[in-house]
Amino acid sequence: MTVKIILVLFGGILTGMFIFEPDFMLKTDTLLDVGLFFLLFFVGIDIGSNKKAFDHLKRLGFKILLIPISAALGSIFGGILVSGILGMKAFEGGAIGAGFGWYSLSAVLIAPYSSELSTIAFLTNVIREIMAIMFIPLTAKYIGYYETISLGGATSMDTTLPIITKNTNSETAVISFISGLLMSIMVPIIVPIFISLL
Amino acid sequence: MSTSILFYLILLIAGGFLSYKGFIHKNLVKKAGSIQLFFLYILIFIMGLRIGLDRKIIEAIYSIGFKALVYALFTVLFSGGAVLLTSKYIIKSHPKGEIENDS
Repeated sequence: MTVKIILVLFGGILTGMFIFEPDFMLKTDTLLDVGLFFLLFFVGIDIGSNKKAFDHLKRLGFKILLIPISAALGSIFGGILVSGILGMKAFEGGAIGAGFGWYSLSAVLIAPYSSELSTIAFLTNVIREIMAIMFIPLTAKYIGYYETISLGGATSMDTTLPIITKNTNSETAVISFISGLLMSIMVPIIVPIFISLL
Repeated sequence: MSTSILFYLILLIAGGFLSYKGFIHKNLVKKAGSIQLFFLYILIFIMGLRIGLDRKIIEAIYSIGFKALVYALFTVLFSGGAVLLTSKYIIKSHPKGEIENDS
């Protein structure tokens, strides 16, 4: 599956670079939304047909919230660590790490502070999403289902949710949606906090 | 974005509810996986298309690509590491392996 995903992704990138004009971007918003709507409905059908998953989720209870919290803390810590390595300010790294893969919003939130940092945040989170698409199948197989959620970050509720669903189980799919939602809520709160500390 | 999130949630719950209550035909439930895969590849293609269409991304790759790559690697590694430790030692549930055909 990973090879097919990489081929399709790079097919899309090359098509965008060499075949379509940049103004086609607006149309892709609609295409992406329609595709996601259909996909999430079928993900729901898949999840609903597995009654075991709900029983297990009930047993785990509020502990599942620890997954997005630890994923968020790990991501921020990783960002701060890199800022030390690259000789940047710690809170700059924290702001980039707190983008959690949501490249458009994190870049917009950082832009008033610095356009260079905003571009780094943008590209970091784009690369993060590409890495998530490519490595979720391998992470699920060799490391663990819940770790796939940390790869997806905020996108584990939408764009990377289908890949997580296909490579894990129904229970992880539900946790993924909840985690992605919580991390998406965290981005516009935590990124401005780091920026205000600079 | 918030309207889209609401729609995502409604559709996910609607699909889950209809399927849980048995309102979806068995054949469609069986084919849900293949249909998901079909839309998944379309979406990944569109995501790639958007990256390729965005000249800012392509230009940025040449100027600050290395910094961004290091940030992406570390944020993903530490985020995954934190989840690994949490699921193993606090949640005490750590599923992994081949895809479970539990649907």
